[in-house]
Amino acid sequence: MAVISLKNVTYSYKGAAKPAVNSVSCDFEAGTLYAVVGPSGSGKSTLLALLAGLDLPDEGEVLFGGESIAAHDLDLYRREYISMIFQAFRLFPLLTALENVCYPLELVGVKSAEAKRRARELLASVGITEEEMRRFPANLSGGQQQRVAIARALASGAKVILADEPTGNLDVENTQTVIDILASLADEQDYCVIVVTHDAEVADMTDVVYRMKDGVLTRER
Amino acid sequence: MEAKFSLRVLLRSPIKTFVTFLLLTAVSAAFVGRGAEFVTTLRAVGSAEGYYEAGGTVRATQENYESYELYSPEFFPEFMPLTQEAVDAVRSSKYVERSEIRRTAGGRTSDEYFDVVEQPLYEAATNGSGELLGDDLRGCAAALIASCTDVSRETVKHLNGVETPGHLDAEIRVEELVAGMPQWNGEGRELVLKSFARGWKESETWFSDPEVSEWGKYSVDNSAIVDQIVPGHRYFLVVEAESIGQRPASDERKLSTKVDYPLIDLTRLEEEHGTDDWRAALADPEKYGLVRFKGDNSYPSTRDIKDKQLVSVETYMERLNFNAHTQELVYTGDMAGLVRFRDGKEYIAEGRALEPSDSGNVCVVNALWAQQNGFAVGDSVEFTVSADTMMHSGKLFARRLPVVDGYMPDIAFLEIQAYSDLGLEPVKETFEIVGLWADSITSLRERDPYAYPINTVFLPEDAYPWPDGAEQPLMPSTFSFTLKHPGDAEKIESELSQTLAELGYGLAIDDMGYAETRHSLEMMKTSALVGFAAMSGALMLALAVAVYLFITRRKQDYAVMRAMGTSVRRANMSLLTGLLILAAAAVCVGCAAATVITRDAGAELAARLTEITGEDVRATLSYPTVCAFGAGEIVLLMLFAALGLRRVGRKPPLELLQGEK
Ligand SMILES: Nc1ncnc2c1ncn2[C@@H]1O[C@H](COP(=O)(O)OP(=O)(O)O)[C@@H](O)[C@H]1O
Ligand SMILES: [Mg+2]
Repeated sequence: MAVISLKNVTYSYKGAAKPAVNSVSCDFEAGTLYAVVGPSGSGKSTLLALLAGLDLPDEGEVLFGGESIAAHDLDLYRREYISMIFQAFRLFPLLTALENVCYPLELVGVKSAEAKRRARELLASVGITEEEMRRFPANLSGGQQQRVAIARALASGAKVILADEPTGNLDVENTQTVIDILASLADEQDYCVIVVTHDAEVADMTDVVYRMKDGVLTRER
Repeated sequence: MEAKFSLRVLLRSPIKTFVTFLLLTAVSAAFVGRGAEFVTTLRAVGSAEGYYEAGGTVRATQENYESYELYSPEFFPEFMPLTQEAVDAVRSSKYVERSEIRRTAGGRTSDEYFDVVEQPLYEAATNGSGELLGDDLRGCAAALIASCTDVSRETVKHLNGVETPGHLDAEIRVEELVAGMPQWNGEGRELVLKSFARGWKESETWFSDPEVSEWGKYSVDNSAIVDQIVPGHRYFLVVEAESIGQRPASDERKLSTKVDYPLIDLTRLEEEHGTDDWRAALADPEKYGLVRFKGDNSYPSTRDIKDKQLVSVETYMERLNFNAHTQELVYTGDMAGLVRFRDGKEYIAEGRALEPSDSGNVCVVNALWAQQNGFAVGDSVEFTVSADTMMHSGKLFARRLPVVDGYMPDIAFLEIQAYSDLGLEPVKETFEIVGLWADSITSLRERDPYAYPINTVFLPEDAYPWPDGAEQPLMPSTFSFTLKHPGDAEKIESELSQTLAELGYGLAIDDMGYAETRHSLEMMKTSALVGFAAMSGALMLALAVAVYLFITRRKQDYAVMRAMGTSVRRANMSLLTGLLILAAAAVCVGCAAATVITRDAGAELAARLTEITGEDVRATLSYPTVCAFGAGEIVLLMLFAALGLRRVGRKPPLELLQGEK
C-alpha cells in the first residue's frame, strides 16, 4: 500500500498564470527510492513541498496512510511523519551540527541528554566526526553540511524522506555518499525516499523515476 | 527548548547582542527619563496652576463719585458703595464660579464670659513679677501687639499660641506689662517709651523738630502717660512692632547701642522683619527690649500727639478698653462660600455652617473660643451688636470698634461718619450656636494674616443690624467673586467692562499673577512634551532595529522551524524569548540610569516652578512613574514583535521558505 499519495493535486502560486503542479496523481511506497527529474521551473520543488505539507493543494489531496493530511494537524504531520532535506541545507546557522540534529528530537519531547546521544549516533552514521559535530554549519564543507541535514532529517524517525536537490551543491564524491545513504535507507530500513534532482546520474541510481514537465508528472522508469 | 534556542542565538551573536543592548539601554534611559520628566512636569504644572485663583470685586470708577470729590475717591474707590445692579451683573457672568456678600460689624459679649480667661493670666502675671522676664515678654508682647492690623494680628496669634492659646488677644494687667519690659526693673513707673521717626530722617521736619536734639537720638518721654496706667485695671493696647536692631538704617543702630540689647520697636511690624524678630526675641527674651508706641498709619511725633492729630496713648487705651471684649461679626448668606472655608483653611469642627436659608438669631463661633468660654453647639450666647463698621482700607480691624474722631485718616472717617449718622444704638441680642468653626492650620506661625481671628462670629445675612428703611451701603470689600479658571480674568473683563462702565464701575480682578506665568507654564509643558516625543521617536526606532535584528533577520530559522513542524507559538517563542530577555535587561539598566540621570530633575522642576509662581511647588520623579515607562517600553516591544510575527505566522511554510531563498 502507498505510504503517501497524491490525488489530482493542483497548485498555483499567487499571481502565477498557470499552475505549478497540475492535476498530479501518484503513489509512493515504502522501501523505494524515487527520483523526480525535470527541467528547472517544471514544478518539482512545489510537488515536494505539497508532499511535505508545507502548504495545501488548491485542488485534490495529499494522502498519508490513506488519509488526507488536510484533515489533520499539519505541524504534527511535518514533525513526526515526514522529513525534509532542503536544497540549500537550511541548517540553523547559530546551532552546532550536533544541536541542529538535536532540534527535531527535542521538538518531539526527547530529553536533552537522550537527544544528544541519538544525534551523535545519527551524525556518526553519516560520517560526521565528534570534532565536526561541535562546529557551526559555516565551518563545515557542503558535503558535511548536507550529511548533517540528512542526519537531522533522520532524527525525527519519520519513515518518509523528501529531499529537494540534495546533491545539487555537491561534488561527485559527496553526491555518491549522499545517494548511498539515501538508497540504503530505502533498501535496508524500508524508508520511502523521494529525491528531486536534475542530475541524470543520480536518477539512474534510484528505483523509480518520475519526470515533471510544466506541472505534469509522468512515470519514466 | 525555545528559551534554549533563543539564548544560544543571543550568546552566539555577541556583537549584535551587545550593540542592541547598548542601543536599547541608552534609548530606554532617555525615554524613561524624559517620560517621567514629562509626567512629573504635567503634574507639577497642574498643581502649580492649582495655586492660582482669580477673583475680585467691583470698584467704582472715578466718574461715579463726583459728590465725594472731597475725599479723592480715585485713591480710595474701595470706600464707595456698590449698587445691586453691579453685583448682579457680575453674578450673571458665566466665568464666575461663585460670589458672596458679607457684612462685618462689631459686637461684644458681656464681661462674665471672660472671667475664665482672665484668671490664669492674672495669676501668671502677679506670681513673680520682676522675675518672669522671658515668659512675661510673651505675655506683654501679646498684649501690646493687639490686633490693630492684619500683620500684628497674626503676631498676636503667634505669640498667644505660645503663651495663652486662643486668649482674647490683648488683655493685660499693668504688672504684666511692667514685668515684660526688661529695661524697667519694676521700680517706680519710669517706663520710657522711645520714639523716633524713621521715614523722616531726610526731611526737613526731622531736623527742625525741636525734640530731635541729635541726629538719631530722637526720643520722647511718655512716662507721664504711663503713670496714669492704673495697676490692676485691664488695658487693651493697639500697637505694631518692628525690630530696631535689624533695621539697616544707622540711626536705629545708634539708638540701640545706647542699651545693652536690641530693641523691638513696637510701632511697626512688617512681615519681612517683624515675625523673625519676634521669634528671636522669644527665643532669647532677656536680650530684647520694647520701645515706642505709635498711632496708626503714620509715624507719630510728639507734635502730632500734642496737636491731637493722633490720639494719645492714654486715650487710645481708654477708648479701646471700653470695648475690650469684642467680636468680629461676619454676616454672610453663604458661609461655605467664603474663600477660606472653600480652601479648607477654615472648617466646621462641629455642628454646621450657616446656609443661605438661615435667618434670625443663629450663629457659628470659634471652637476654641467656645471651649474657653464653656459654650457648646445648642447653647445661647449674647452679643451686643452695633452697626459700627469694622472696615478700614478694605481689611478687617477687629479691635477698633469705637473709632476715635480725628484719629482715623479722612477717608475712613467719612465711612464712620456715614454710619454713625444713623444714630444707631448698640443692641443686645441672643444667638443660638449652631456650629463651631476652626482653623485647620494649627501651627500659629503658619497662619496667614487673613485668617479669621478666634473672636469671629458668623451670623446670617439678615441679622445685620441695620435699621429698616435705611440704605445699607454695600462696600466693595464685602462683595467678592471667584472665577472658574484663573485664566478667565481677561475674558470676564471684556465681557463685563462695557456693562459695568455704564453703571459707573469697573472690575478689580486679582489672578495672583496667573496671566504672567501662564506662558511660562505652557512653555514648560511644551518643552517637556517635545523632549518626550523626541525620545519616543528614538525609542520606536530602536525597538524597530531590535525587532529587525532579532526577528526579521531570523525569519530563515523561523521558516525552517515551521517546515520541520514547529508550531507557530513555539517558533514565535524561539525568536521572542531572547529579545525579551535582552530588552528587559536593557530596560532595567536604562531605568536605573534614568533614575540617576534625573535625580535632580524633580528638584530643578520644583525650583523653576517655585520661581515662576512664587509658591512652594513640590515635584518628585517617582519610581512608579519610571517603572511604568519601563514597563511601557516592554509592552511596546511586544507589540512591535507581535506585529512582525503575526504576519509571518499566518503564512504557510512554503511561502516562508521561498521568501527566504
Ligand atoms: N513563490 C512563487 N510565486 C510564483 N510562482 C512561483 C513561485 N515559486 C515557483 N514559482 C513558479 O512555479 C513553477 C514551479 O516552480 P518550482 O516548483 O520551484 O520548479 P522546480 O523546482 O522544478 O525548478 C515555476 O514556473 C516557478 O516560476
Ligand atoms: Mg526546484
